[in-house]
Amino acid sequence: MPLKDLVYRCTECGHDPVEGEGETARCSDCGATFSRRPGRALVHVESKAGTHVRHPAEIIRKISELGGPVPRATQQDGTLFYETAIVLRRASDHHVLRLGGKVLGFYERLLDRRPGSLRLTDATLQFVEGEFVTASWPLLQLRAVQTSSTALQITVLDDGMYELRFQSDSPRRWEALLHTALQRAYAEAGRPAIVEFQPRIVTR
Amino acid sequence: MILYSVFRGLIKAVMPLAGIRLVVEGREHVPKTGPFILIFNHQSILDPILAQTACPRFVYSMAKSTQFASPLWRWLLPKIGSFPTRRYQVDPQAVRTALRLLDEGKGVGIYPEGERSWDARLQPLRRGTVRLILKAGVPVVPCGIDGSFHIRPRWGSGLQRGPVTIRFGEPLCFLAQNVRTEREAALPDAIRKVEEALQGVMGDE
Repeated sequence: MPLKDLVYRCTECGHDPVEGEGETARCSDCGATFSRRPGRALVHVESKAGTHVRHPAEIIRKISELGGPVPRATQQDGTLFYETAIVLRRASDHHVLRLGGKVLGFYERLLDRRPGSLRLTDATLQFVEGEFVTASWPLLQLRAVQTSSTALQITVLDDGMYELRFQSDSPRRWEALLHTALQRAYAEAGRPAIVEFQPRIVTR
Repeated sequence: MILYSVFRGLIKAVMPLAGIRLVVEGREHVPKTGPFILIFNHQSILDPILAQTACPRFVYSMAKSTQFASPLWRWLLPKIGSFPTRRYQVDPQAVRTALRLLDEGKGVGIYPEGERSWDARLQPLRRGTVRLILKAGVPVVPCGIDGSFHIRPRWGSGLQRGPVTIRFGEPLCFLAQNVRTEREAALPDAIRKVEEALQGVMGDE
């Protein structure tokens, strides 16, 4: 996973997004650069303020203090709108896995690689292919949200699991964004606050 | 079992070549016989390999179900002790399999955070895992993995050299709670104890 999945927003000036590949990232606004420090999983930051080393927990805290992914996804009227390129795959029905005649568990296959865009609004998550919205999931119908490596997995009521693999965006950003959108949608619907998003959404 | 031993031997041989120095502490805390649950913190993609190599007993471990989609992994993973759990929904079959293995006197390994940490720190534990612990009523051995984050963090793309300490702690004992209401009542206290035990063996990250 690239470093910009962690540092998806500049901790020095707040600019969103940062750019980069592999273990380096750069803010196009203030010029700060982020790289993995050799030997330790710490982030080496070079900015106008100087050079320093940040622990990943500090990066996470700083981004959270800046509002996380929400400011960039918020329109002038206060509504949410954010869109990014993904490859969508749907999980098959489950298959049984046996060992020595005993059932070990169930697994699924991920079907149909469909490139397109993932679009988030206040009330829905949509998948757009070309100019057409080909799937639309009301937020209140989502049953689980979690990251899995470089992808996000969502479980939809009566529709199973979808894997949303990002082409260049951060799954961490999207997880935080969806958590925020879901909490807002639940509050607007008069439902209690969500306390757990996986393996299923649980409210207080 | 044979593949498991071969796999462990291979990993032990390859680790020094990759610059990974494995230090194991507290092996004596793993019960020599009978069922036990091993709970790990999760810092890196390397953790399952390193932890299984360090544990003195064969451990069956839960792995995400999507890993079993490929025919090769579907063949190999069960032979080295992995069984699938669907992380995106409640998976009663994964619980049944874990309880059956424990009934047979085996060890079961679980990552109660559910996924790798982004910053090496302990994440909130999945309540379902702690429910399983309360249902099983077997010794729970906390196992801290310290250092794998620096070798290959979730947001990193390459391997770095360095030491990894696998630290087994003193087993926790929970009475089996077979009544759901009693299990739910015991849950908050059990979560706190498991978190404290894991923090205690994790190191200072």
